[in-house]
Amino acid sequence: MCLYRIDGAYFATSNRCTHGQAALSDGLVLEGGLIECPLHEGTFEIRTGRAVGAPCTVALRTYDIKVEDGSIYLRR
Amino acid sequence: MAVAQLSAARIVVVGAGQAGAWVARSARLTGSAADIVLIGAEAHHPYERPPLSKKVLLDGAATGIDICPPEEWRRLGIEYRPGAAVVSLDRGSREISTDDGRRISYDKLVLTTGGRPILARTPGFDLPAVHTLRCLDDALRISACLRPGARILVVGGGWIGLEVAAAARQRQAHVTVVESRSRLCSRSVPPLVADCLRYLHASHGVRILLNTSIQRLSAAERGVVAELSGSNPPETADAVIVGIGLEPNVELAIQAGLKVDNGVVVDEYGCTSDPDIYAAGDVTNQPSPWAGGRVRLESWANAQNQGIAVGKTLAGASQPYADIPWFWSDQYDVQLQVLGFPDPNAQLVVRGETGQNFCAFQLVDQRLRAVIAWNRARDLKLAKRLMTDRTPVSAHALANEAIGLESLAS
Repeated sequence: MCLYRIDGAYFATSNRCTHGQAALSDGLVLEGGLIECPLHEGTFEIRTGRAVGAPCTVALRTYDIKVEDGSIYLRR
Repeated sequence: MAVAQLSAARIVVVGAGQAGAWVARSARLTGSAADIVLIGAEAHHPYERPPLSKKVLLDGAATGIDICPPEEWRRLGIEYRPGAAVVSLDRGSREISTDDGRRISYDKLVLTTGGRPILARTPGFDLPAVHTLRCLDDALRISACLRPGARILVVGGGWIGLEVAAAARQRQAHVTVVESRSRLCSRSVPPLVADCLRYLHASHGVRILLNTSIQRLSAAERGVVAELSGSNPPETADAVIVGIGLEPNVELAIQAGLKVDNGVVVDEYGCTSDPDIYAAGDVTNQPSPWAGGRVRLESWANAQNQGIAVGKTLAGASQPYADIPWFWSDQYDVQLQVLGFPDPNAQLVVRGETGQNFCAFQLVDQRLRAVIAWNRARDLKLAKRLMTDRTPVSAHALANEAIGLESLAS
């Protein structure tokens, strides 16, 4: 699981890139709300999981999130 | 407007590797309404080659290597024609023909024909136990040779040779690597990194013979016997894997009279000497501001990203291609990445622990010239930003782990 905070809002996606054997949590968050895979530079839209940049062609799983009383809840 | 000028009725892409597949995808995803025909010589759907010398050798299977889910070609309206070799190109009638006798006309043609392994002229290299590695079928054949206890002789201590050696050791085969030069990967990494590679393989039980070449291979009762240069005794092997370089598939371009000089000569848009013919990937000789001249690159990243740039240009969104050259290699539990062109005259700065987890930076006039990352993917990405922006950096800061590379950006 990879958890993001962008402009105060929280998002969660699967941590495993859909292209290679890489942990997205080691990648960089780019402008425009994208996560870049640290291995092969593929990118996904964090909010929707959509594969945006090559070589990624398969969407990333995203998770619904709820923030309540200082805790973050994820829907599996 | 560029869109109107370049809008083509039919784009034909010759070669369905990383470059060709991404030319086709990128033209369509950028909005081209042209008929797009992608012609591949192999029977498979377009796939990625990096796993061929890694995962496919270990698994003996071709799962998870498709460039995209196979049904996506039809969904994108890209006509994929597998198993067809293009045998002629007629620029006058703007037509190509395939080995099954079909003719296909084009408005824009893209040559993404890649390359083929260089074959040694040494006697015995045509024996059936001798293999080269370029396509999926090669990888599956080699994988079947990597049995526990098998004796594998690797010719060439470059990236392909070393990745095959790593896979063979992981399959418990005995491995000897023969390299004619004095270092491993001598064309692409500085001596410090070459030494780390040698130590890595030696510690995994690979026998490495530097400054050594093969004089002759002869058939033996089982496998082959290799006569080596110098005072080395003959080496018996069950299989020989040769990785001594690639030559570009330029025959079609030469036959059609395009400008060819160590690859098909293209400009920064991938355009050849014919304005209706483009090229991308291993087959191109391109201008690179990072090389200070023309280069022919053999890497996955170049094939893909030059292909994407050509696809955009064909869709009317002209985009010059000037990425910093970049490639990686996976061997055992090490991921090595090389960014830029290592320069023997540059200042070398090491961050981290050599051979374990480190970056080797090469500096010229306080600018990064090249970066080699050994199990440091994140540092490489941060260094790429510094290199792209040509940010001045000090050797002292780069070597100091207490200073994050993020903080060096201007």
